[in-house]
Amino acid sequence: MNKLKTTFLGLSMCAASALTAHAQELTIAIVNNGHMINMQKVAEAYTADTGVKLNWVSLEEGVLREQVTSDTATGGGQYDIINIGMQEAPIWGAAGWIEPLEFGAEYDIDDMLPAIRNGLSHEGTLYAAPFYGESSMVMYRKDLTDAAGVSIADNDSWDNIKAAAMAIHNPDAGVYGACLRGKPGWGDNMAFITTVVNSFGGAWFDKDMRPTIDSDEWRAAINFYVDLLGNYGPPGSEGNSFNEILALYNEGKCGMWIDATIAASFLEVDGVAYAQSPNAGNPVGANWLWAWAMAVPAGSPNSDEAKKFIEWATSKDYIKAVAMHPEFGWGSVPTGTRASTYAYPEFKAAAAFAGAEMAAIESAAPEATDLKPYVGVQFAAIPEFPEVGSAVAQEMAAALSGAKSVDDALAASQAAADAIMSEAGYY
Amino acid sequence: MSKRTLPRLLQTPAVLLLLMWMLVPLGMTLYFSFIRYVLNSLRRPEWTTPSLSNWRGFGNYEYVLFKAKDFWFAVQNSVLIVGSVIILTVVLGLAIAVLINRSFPGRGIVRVLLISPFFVMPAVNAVLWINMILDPVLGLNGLAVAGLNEMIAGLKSFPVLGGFFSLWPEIEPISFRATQTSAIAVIIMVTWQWTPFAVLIFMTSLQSEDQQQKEAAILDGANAWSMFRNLTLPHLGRPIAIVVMIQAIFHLSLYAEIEIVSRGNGNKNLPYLIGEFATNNIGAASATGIIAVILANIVAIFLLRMVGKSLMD
Repeated sequence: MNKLKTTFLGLSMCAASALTAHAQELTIAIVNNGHMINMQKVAEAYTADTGVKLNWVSLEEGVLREQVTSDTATGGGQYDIINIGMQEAPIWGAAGWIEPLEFGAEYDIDDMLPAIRNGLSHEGTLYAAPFYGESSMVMYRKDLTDAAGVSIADNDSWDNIKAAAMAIHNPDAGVYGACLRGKPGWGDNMAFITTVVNSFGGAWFDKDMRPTIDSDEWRAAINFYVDLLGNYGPPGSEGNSFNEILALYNEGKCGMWIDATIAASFLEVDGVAYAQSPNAGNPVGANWLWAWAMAVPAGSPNSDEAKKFIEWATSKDYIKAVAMHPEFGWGSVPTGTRASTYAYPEFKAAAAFAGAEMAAIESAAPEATDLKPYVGVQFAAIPEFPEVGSAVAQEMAAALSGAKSVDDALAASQAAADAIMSEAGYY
Repeated sequence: MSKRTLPRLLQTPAVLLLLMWMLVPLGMTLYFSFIRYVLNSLRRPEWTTPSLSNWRGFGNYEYVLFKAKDFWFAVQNSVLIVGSVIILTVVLGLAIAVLINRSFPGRGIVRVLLISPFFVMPAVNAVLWINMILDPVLGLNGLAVAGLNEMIAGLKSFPVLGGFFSLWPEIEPISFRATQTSAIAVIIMVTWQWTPFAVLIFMTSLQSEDQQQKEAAILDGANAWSMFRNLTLPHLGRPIAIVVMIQAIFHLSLYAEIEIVSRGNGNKNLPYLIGEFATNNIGAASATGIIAVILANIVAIFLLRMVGKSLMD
């Protein structure tokens, strides 16, 4: 059925292109985040310069993933350019679903932050060009910590973080010590929980790709997480992810929040201070690494034009174009991709969190090491991860709700992950 | 040529089209459920294209039923949600329908208001309830509990009553996204949405109730309850059966509410489980789909018999 549809689509596209002769068109699937929405306006200049017409398909993150996965897996060919993240890029590159990217010298690929570049590559070849990147950090209310007489340092110990949360926790006044993600989902609570586990020295899989969720490191990390969020978090934390916590924070209900660096640009509360994520002493670090990137599906008939557009949209010129655009400015440029962005004094002035963000991104290490034999920091870049991650995410939410003990939740997670991995033929 | 041949010939294209419409998707699902088929695999690229050489027999079924997480929980939770919603909507629907069956000023407006929840889209329903009403901090739930706590705190300083109120514990708002309560949240919102449907059906059939019989009962000195028990309820047998059947069919496929409330945490049904498998493992998703079709048919057979019986009487 799908083949039939594809053939039909292909035929009608051929007919359409024959009619319009040389006019080039690109269909681009984007995630509906602020930076991408802005791109639609900035790219009007690109169309004016090159005559390439751009058709935008803007979708919500989850829907985009679903659409793009099924379209790419079945060779549907609906899109010339797709937005994908760090979890997909190396796997899809290895599977041959997306085309390798090579750009001219002017693109200055060495300007790209190495952590981001490595995370989007497979065996040294870049498969998706980063549009914006992010890490995670601690964002806290300096007024509250000062009043309570505590301080939070860069890469603080988890014990200190807990002490600080305890000191500023005041539910009677509507302020909760720590707001952290609890909503189940591999990109929701597991993004944060995985960084805690990393910082305790744990990992998702061992070198044979057998899950290690019942290990002591996981047990220590999850016990800590459930204790911290259960005692000093807002009620109903099992329903909170990025957007929910952002709303709580801006209502003045959160004392401390550990989440994506991009959150800093949305905070409307005065006196916010930043610190690097806490760590229990592990070299992998406790902050995550994520980038939304652009890739070309394999076999796109317009792949040359598509690559030219990606080269422009992820270049230094693009960042300047956003900064100079009458509707935007330095506060709206996509961050976390190029070192040169952080060198502009105008950018530093517009984004108070720039330094902390850069430091966080640079300290994240997505490469496979002896400690964790897979690519990725707060996820594993394997096709089965979304399935494993969601299953474990639900167990963690159950542990946070108190419906299950931490030990039971970990045992159930291990069993579920083991079933999925052996089903997938890893062992 | 007999009399019937021509009409049958003319019907053939429509029947064939209908058969294809149903059989092709079902056949493909059945086929996928017996082979290894995953969208992407680093270790076994051959599994990523559906082909007979990946034949697996009942392996996918075995995986879904005995190895993977949550199949039996999903079945059990489906029964809990469908059963509770049906009981609640029938009881509430009957009560409301009987109440508004009498004439009173403003009856038209009350009826319209009562029926309006049914026209809210399921996803909107879930978003509204979970964020604006059930949320433990920013929703009505949290605000009400916070207000109550404040009131009690204020009463503590009263001379005599203060001693009594100081014994009261601080009330914690219930989180409706938690593992223990997320199924209850879904039951609340679906009941809110579907009670109007029951009211609508019961109301129309109450209008056809035999008034003379009722008057006779009043003359014989029957009270309201025994009239309801012996006259109204038997009269409503058929509509109740229909409400039960239609709701059972609809609620077996709930998805939006579960996704929005808890993302399957402590609360999922078979369609949701299929959605989880379908992120990569199409074989397992198809096997779950086939099992769901079989279970739904078993339920349908019982329901149809029940309705059929009530129609025969």
